[in-house]
This record gives sequence, structure tokens and C-alpha cells, in this order.
Amino acid sequence: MMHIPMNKFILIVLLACVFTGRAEQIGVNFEYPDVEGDFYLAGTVFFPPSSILSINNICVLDTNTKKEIASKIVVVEKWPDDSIMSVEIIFPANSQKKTEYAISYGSDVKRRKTFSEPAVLPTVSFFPAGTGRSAENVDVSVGQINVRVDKSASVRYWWYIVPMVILLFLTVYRSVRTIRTQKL
Amino acid sequence: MIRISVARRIVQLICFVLLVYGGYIFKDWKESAETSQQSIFPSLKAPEGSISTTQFAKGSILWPSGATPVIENYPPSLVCRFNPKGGMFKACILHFFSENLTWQTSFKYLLPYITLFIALCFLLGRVWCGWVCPIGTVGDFLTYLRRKMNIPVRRFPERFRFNLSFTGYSLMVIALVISTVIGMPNYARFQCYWFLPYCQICPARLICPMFGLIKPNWKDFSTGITTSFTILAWIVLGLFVAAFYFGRRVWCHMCPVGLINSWFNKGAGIELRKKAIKCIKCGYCADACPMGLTAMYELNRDAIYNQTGCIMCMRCVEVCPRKGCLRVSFFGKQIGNTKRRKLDAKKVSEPVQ
Repeated sequence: MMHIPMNKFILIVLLACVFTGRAEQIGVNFEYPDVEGDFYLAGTVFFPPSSILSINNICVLDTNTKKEIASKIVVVEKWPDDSIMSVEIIFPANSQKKTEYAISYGSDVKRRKTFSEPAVLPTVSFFPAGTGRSAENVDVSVGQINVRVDKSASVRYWWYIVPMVILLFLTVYRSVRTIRTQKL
Repeated sequence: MIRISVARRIVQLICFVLLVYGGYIFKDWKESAETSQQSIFPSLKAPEGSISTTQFAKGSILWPSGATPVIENYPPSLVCRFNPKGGMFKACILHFFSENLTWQTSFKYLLPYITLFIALCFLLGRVWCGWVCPIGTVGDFLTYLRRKMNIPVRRFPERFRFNLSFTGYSLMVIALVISTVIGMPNYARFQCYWFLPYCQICPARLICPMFGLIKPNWKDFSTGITTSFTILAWIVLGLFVAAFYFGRRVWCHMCPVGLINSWFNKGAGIELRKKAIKCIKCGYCADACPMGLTAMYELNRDAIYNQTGCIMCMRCVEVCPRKGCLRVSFFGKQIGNTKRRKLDAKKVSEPVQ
């Protein structure tokens, strides 16, 4: 059996406690316009509850080069727990350099590039791919609407149960060892 | 090399300043704390209709916190929520459990806080009580005054110490049961009187704001329940201060936060070890122990000493006259050792009656 020194094992457990943040990506669907050169892509993106607390944890990536693209992000709505529900994002694109974009978000994401005063350019709407909410309207005159409210928030905090159980196990293990040395 | 007791005093003083005045010092950190801390630690808030510390009127016994703390976290030591503006952290761990039982917060949101608490306790055991706790620091200052007044210290019998711990556990259980009951929808109307029941009688609720440049709310005679809590809080504070004129660290035997920390002491990363062959049974370690523990003196074999009652002040290591007899280690790695010194009972230890 492989022997792992106790202090290294504990260090790994503690690191597991700290590095629990993740980054998620949302694809961006749009059609290139008939204009040549630069244009803006704008759209609204929704996030699950408790996932994002600051716009600094959202950034736009060029998926080909994996580099960040300067973006302007404005908060539209918030969840009751103060986390961000939706944001409006606007960022520059170019019809000649055809590429794909993604919106990255999460506690590990740090937004570095921003722009505040965009030039007058044509704007094309994009639609986020893979989020739970549709951008379309609901026609209320069609009949009964069933609304289901899913109150279960993100499961990411359950991950803490792993280091917690390991730490408790180690505490009990070491306590038994201490008691044994005193009773020998 | 710096003496352990001197190092402890310096650490206690720094921690006292940070914990009691940290809110004033690091108030500008709030912005960065919001983005960096809360992504790992979820923001815990009172649900609609529930009582929170910020909702109380000025006249209430529960002084409103007034300002949000710099770091939204609950360390294992006493950092009182009722020290508005000055408090750096959110509160102590008992406040955390009481508050969230009443709010019926989902267990998953508590997990990051509980994990951090367990990690700190696992690493350091009751080092928090001996080196960090501001109430312990106040207690040590009262002990210093008692020594200056030449009042002899008494060692309380084992039975008395057991009774103190039993009282602490009883108060903790009662407080947690009350917090759970008032969280139920049928009993929510009692929240305005019974919210954070232990905090209402804890001496830290009066002492921390007093040092934090805030006038503590000493009295609330508006209803029968608040009058009872006011009188109980006075009695507990009186006993807290008076106890230091008879013994050292008496409150630590019944402090619920210390009792929770003590569960981790035997398995903590920090260890006190004894080399029995070098012990000359001088009894200095037993005399010097502020918790009045004698187990280190009584140990007749090489062993890890860690007792649940030990606050890891390491006075025993400091006063031991035999080189290498007692040592402090961290996961088996030695970090401190006893030095050879001439026996001088007056200097190294306080005689116990």
C-alpha cells in the first residue's frame, strides 16, 4: 500500500477546502451581419442563484485563442440572496475575423478588460446557449400557466462535506491515538 | 529566544486589537471581502419575517450590530457580534449555530463555515482559547491584577470544574433548543424575545462593545423576559469578574465556545508531549496551569498530553526546569522545548492554595 505522510495528506485536505471555486462557460449564438469590419454583440445572460456575486467574476472569451475580450457588463436583475440573476453584456466583434465567443463565469474568473464608451457601430444581438431561461415571451392569453419554482439552489456547497468528513475522521483517529499513548 | 509567556502576551494583544478594533482598521476591506469571501462562503441572511441582529431597536437588550463586519465569517473564538463597527468578523461559532437554527438555513450553506471551523480546530485545538480569545485576554489581565494585589490563587477541585463544564454544556444545549424552537413557524412570535438566547447572557456581549468604543446596552426592562435577561446578564458578568479573584481562567471551564473547541483538542495538530524519564515531579507544571489541570504532572509515561481542558497556553512547557522533559510539536515536528533552568519557584510559578 502506498504510504502518504500524514502532514502531506492534511495539506491536500486543506487545499481541497480552499480551492472549491469553479469556472463555467456559456456559449454565444449569433449570426454574422452583412457589414464589413467591427460591430458589437449585445445580449442578456441569466445565471443560477448564488453562483455570481460580482460582475468582476464574468468575462467574455474568444474560444479560439482562449483570450479575454474587453466587455461592458451591466447588472439587470438580482436574486433574493443578492447574487446576480441577469446581466447585459456588450463586446466588440469583427466580421472578417470569424470566431466563436463564450461567456465565462465563476469564483475563479477575474474580469480584466473593460470598455465604457463604445464607438457608434452596428449592434447585433446574441443569445446565450445552455442557460435555463428562454429569451422569448409567454402569451398569457393561451390558457392556464403552470409555474414550478425550483427552490433548490446550487449544489456546490455540498462539496464541503468531503473535506469536513475527512477532517472529522482525522480528528477522531488522532484522538484515539492520543488516548492510547496516555493509557499504555 | 523569546519566552513563551511573552510571545503569548504579544499574540493576545495583537489578536485583541484585531478582533475588537479590526472593523475600524480594515473597514475598507469590505469591498474586496464581498467579492472574494462570499464566493466560497455563502451570504447567510435572515429570511423574510425572521429576526436578525440588525432589526432590533436601540432600546432592546440586543444591541443592533449597526454595521456589517469586515469578514463574513465565524471564527472559533469569541468575536462578539454586539461590537458594532469594531467587530472584524461576523461572530463566534455559537452565535452562528443559534442564528442559523432560528433562520432554518439550509445545511449546505452552513457547510463552508463548519468546514473552516473544523479545519482551524483540527490544526490548533484550543490554541484559540489560550492565545486569541479577547475574553481570555481580559481574564488574564484580571488575573494579573489579582497577583498584583497579592491575593492567592485557589485550585478548584475536579468536581467543581466538572460542574462548571456541565453548566456550560447545559446552557449551550438550552440555547440551541430555544433557537430551534423559535425558528418553527408556530413559535416565530417569540423570536423578538428569545433570539440568540445565550448571547443575551454572555459576558462578551457587554465586554466587547465596552472595549470597542461603543456604549453597551446594559439594561432592558421593557418586558418580563428582557428584564430577566438583563438581570441574568449582570449576574453572569459579575460572576465572570469575581471568579478571577479566586482562580485563573474560571470562565473558560464553562464557555460553550471553548467547550466546542475542546472536542478537537486530543486530535489537534498541535501537541504537548512529555518525556517521563526526565520528570522530577517538581509540580511546577501543575501550579502554573491556568486551567488547574494536574494530568501533566501525574503522567508517568511518555505520552501526548493533549487534554480536553488544556488551552494550549504552554505555561507548563515554560516553567518546567528539566531540559527536554516537555515539548510542543506540530504534527510530530518539534516547535518548542523546555530549557534547563535553576529551580526558582517564586519566579516561574504561582503557588497554589
